[in-house]
Amino acid sequence: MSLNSRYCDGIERRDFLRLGTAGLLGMGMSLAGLLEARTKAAERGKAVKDVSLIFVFLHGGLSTIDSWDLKPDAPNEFRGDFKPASTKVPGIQIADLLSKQSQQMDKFALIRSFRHHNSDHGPADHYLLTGYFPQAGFNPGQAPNNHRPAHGAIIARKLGARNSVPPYVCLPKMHASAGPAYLGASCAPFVIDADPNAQRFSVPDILPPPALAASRLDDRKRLLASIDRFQKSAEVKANRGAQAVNVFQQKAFALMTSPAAKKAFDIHAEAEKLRDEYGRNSLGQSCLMARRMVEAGVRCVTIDHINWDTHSDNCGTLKRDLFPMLDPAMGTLFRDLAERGMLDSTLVVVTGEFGRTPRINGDAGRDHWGPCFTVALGGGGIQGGRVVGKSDARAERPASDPYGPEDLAATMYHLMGIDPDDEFFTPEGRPIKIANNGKIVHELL
Amino acid sequence: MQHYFLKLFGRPMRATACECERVGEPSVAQVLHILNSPDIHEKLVHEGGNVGRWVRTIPADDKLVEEIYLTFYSRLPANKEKEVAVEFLRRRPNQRRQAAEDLAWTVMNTLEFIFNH
Repeated sequence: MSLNSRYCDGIERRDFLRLGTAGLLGMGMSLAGLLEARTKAAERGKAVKDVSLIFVFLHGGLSTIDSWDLKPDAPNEFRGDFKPASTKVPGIQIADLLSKQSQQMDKFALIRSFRHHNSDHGPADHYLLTGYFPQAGFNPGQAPNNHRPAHGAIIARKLGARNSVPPYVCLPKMHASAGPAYLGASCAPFVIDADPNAQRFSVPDILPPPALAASRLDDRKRLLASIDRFQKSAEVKANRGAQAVNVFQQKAFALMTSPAAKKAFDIHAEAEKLRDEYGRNSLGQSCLMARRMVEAGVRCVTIDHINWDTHSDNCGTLKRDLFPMLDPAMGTLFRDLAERGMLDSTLVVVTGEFGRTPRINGDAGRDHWGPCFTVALGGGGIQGGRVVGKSDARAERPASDPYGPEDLAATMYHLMGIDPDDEFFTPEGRPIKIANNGKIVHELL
Repeated sequence: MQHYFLKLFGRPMRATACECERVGEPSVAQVLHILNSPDIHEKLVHEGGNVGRWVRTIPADDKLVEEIYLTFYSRLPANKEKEVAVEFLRRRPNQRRQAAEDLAWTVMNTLEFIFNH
């Protein structure tokens, strides 16, 4: 039956045919390719295990000078309202208001010397989500707007799907730069376009209307298979968009009938107390959903949370609205992962597209600041309780060990068993490095 | 207009005058929507809707199939297609309305419809 042409490793064979020779030159996942990747990784002395990624994107740009890299001795116009406080790890201090994650400091690390050259929404987002700064002609208003594939799309391509759940999921919506670019439809994310904090949250359209008997759905599927046979004209076959729809339909049916997916999407099965601890807001519940989905086999979950763009009343907004969401979400996520024995196999990255200006502006706010900020990451093989690099006296520039989005990408791929020096070939046959020549941040390992 | 269907199928944000804002790329969510959307289901089963009207006014099965194909695909069915569809209707003579709804749903979910229309 044409609706179920998957082999046991979950790969859609039609993808290779559709991509032609480009598919054979290094793109795409074959069993041989996977074995080769694992052998290479093993040769480098790294234990090969399945690591999943939860990428928490604080859209708008978290002020890291007020959260993870405080400068209490800086002048008034730079300092901010919060005081650094000791954490579980001696020698590391973060904002006093972040008490929950402070207790989990042994589980994650901070890169305080992170920087890049751009302070605009749009291009900076693309840079953080793909490891590549976009080229000329970039249109941030498009959705998706990718010139290069997002991390999740690369992970989906390199590692493939598991347990009949999508390999790459975005929630509570898809960031415009979370798309697959030239990797195409099969690496696009499954988007949960709904707030997991909503009282009657459910993944839209995942189940047929309740009024429809199961037998009728079967009748319809059989009819669809027999009618669709007539649609396989040459023009349709040659058309990438049309083939993409085909791919998506396969995925859609698989998703509808996958018990693992059904379980993962059912946030209401989670204990109320734990839901409270993550925080009853879209960030907290998205982090909880992400944990569930990783448990079910999803390889990469990208959470796009707004709005961190505190141009006015920065410290007020952080204190009132943003920290009370970030702290329980992050703190509980790390604790929860550790308690379930999932920390070693789940890499969590928390960052915005840039930091915020060390000099406070006329509205008691901070504006965009790409030249120096802090990224937090833990699990998946990261040595927690570490600080990598430092910033200067006012957190304006790195004082040592500068790292950028390509290095973050390289490090993430490395931890997931993907060689950061790998290349893909675009449909035109051009080789493109997956991690933009980024360096692995060895101090984290 | 905050319409889920339009947003899902790539209504441009209209932030610029650029054609490029219209998203041509399909998604799993789009496909799931056409497969399972309660709104679409409502429209298919509605008493005053097209399917209900056709079932009431077109007693001949082959003509009903032609009507469905003309409406969704802007073409008549090929002979083989007509055979399969008519057979499908004939197998459930006591549930002609439901069978017609199923046929309309199926046609909406074929590659030809999703991609071309």
